[in-house]
Amino acid sequence: MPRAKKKKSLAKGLLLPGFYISTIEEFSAKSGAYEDGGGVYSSKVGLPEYDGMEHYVSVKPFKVSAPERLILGASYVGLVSDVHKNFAQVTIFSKDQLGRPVPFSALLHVSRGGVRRARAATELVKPGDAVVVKLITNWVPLQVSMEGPELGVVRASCSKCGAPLTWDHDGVLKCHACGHREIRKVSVDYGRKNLHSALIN
Amino acid sequence: MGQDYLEFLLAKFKSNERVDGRALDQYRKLEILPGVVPKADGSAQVKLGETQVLAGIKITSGTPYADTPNEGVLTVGMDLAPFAHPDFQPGPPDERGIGWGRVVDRGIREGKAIDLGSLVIEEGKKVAIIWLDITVLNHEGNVQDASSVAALAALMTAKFPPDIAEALGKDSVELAHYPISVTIGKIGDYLLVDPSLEEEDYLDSELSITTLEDGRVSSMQKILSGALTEDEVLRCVELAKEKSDELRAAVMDAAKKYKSAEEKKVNEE
Amino acid sequence: MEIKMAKLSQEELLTDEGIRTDGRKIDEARPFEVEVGVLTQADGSALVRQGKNLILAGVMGPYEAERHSQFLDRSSLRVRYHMQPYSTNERKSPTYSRREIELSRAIREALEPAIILTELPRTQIDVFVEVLQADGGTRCASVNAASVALADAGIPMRDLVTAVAIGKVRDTLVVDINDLEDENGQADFPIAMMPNKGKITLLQMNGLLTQEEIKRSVEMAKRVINSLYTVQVNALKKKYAPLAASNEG
Repeated sequence: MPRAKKKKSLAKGLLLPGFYISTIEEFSAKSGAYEDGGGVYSSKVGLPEYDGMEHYVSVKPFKVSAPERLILGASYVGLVSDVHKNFAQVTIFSKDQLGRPVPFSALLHVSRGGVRRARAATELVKPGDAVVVKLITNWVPLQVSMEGPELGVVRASCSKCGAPLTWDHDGVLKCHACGHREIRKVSVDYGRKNLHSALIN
Repeated sequence: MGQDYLEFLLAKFKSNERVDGRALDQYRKLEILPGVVPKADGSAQVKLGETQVLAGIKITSGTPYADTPNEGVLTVGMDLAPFAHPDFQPGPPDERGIGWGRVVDRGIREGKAIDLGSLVIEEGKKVAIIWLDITVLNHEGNVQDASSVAALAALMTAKFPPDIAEALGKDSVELAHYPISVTIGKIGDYLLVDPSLEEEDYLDSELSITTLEDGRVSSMQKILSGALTEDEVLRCVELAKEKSDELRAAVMDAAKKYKSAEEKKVNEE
Repeated sequence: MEIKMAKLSQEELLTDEGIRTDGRKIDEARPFEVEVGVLTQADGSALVRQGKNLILAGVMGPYEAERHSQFLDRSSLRVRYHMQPYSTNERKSPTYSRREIELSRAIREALEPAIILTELPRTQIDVFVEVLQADGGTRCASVNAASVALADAGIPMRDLVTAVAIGKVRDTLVVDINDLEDENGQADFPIAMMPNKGKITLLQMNGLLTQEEIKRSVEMAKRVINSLYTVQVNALKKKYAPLAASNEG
């Protein structure tokens, strides 16, 4: 098992969970490593990365799971599942090791909807809408925001007749089938094709 | 989004090419390993591309069915391991899994591959029961054909337990026929042999045809909601015969190699 | 589940020269092989051969847990141990049995201490173990396969988990018991440990042992566990070392 005698001779090469890296005095554990007793150990199968300045060590894993791929500040495509007065529930999609979409629940609060005058989340989104949102917390519960022109609803259906809605004017979508109009926080990318592949980071 | 990818696939098929580089009538790499579970009375692991299945056989003795007192019993079961695909839940197989098992079952049964009459120990009272269980370990498309190959390889290399062997006067299950399933999928106007998992998502129809070594067809099954023209069906039957001969030859080869290796072991002891 | 097999006397289980039914000495473990990443749909997988045991473990997840089974502060681990009908001497019915439920729990409790569950709140990790051939000590072999599969899946862990069952035949302690010794012996004592931490995560004993025998059993188990652990490590290295090399290059 690699043992660090001084900062100079550091544990290099492939690490497995439980492998010793250093003492806690030499380095603090960041992601992929943990502290136990007076030592720092790897928690993943991966390669160590040392930050000499800050005295951190992290282990860069070969496999990153779907929840760990959720990046703070990144944009995600999601589906609105439930809408309440103050918040909406959105399912966003991360990706796993094989590139398969993996769903996670997130909350969109009306105050982060990107429409200042909105008094209820129902003025922003409706259940079934496809949205692009930004992740503002990547710990539980996940929270998202639609503040920004590219963020908001990208696909919606008429709540009266079910036909797809088209962009009418600022914040308003229109149904060509039955003429009904609805308000949403609309993304500038509303109706664009190939959105999914373009967005998932 | 799906539409664009479909157009991309159809363009490739036009040049007789699939995403993984195969021709439309080409099978993925096939590996057959008989005897992987020595405690079982017969077994075979099959890898078709990355699809992996394991067929295991246990032979017991018991009472025959009331309506067939002169016949032994063959029962085919299917188990979808939950790690084989995210859609597979622990527990009994869903309708898709049952469907796959039925393809194997009907191919063997309708093809009269096993002479069930030769499995009788005491008419009406005691017969041999062949339990053929297929475990899907990894689903990357076309579980049907992988299972059919595994089942045949396991049956060909199976041996009766000593007490039943003595009662029947024979060592191994003697097959009368060698059924092999060939599955063909249709996307647009194109027929694809051995659909991969990705291709399965885009199929309009899927046809599994089990053919015997003499060219006769012992079972056919179309699934999914697309339609096939008469010409297409006949073309599939032709294709199935051609491909089943290839697969059958691979099974025969693997079984032969396994049996001679086993004999060598016995002689050395 | 009945295993009808030979009923052996203690003298038949261990000769005067100290040779067991399969030719091993009392402190000799069975051949042990591990292969990592044998499946494509699972997030992590490992195939283990421990004696005649042939066991495949696959890990799915972590993914978001269902409302009713999620913990707000950590991940929820589900383990399912299942035997294939052709895996045992007598055919086993495919229906899920009480024994399999009990073993699923034992394996889960052996693995949980090694997983840093608090790093993945509200998620679920599924570990599925399929026994393709059984020959005594399947819960230990399952732990050995599952812990490697978890590491292969990138689940954060404190250590791998390694297990072996100690037994007693003809009043003598033996390591890594097989089917015959399990059925006919005087005690059956599976033990699992986190090898680098020296901590025990699975401990179950059936039979009669003195205090001294328990102490010696744990010592014997530790020695075997260290050598089994080396095999697990080498299996993971075999898969990941080439990736590590191309990363550094």
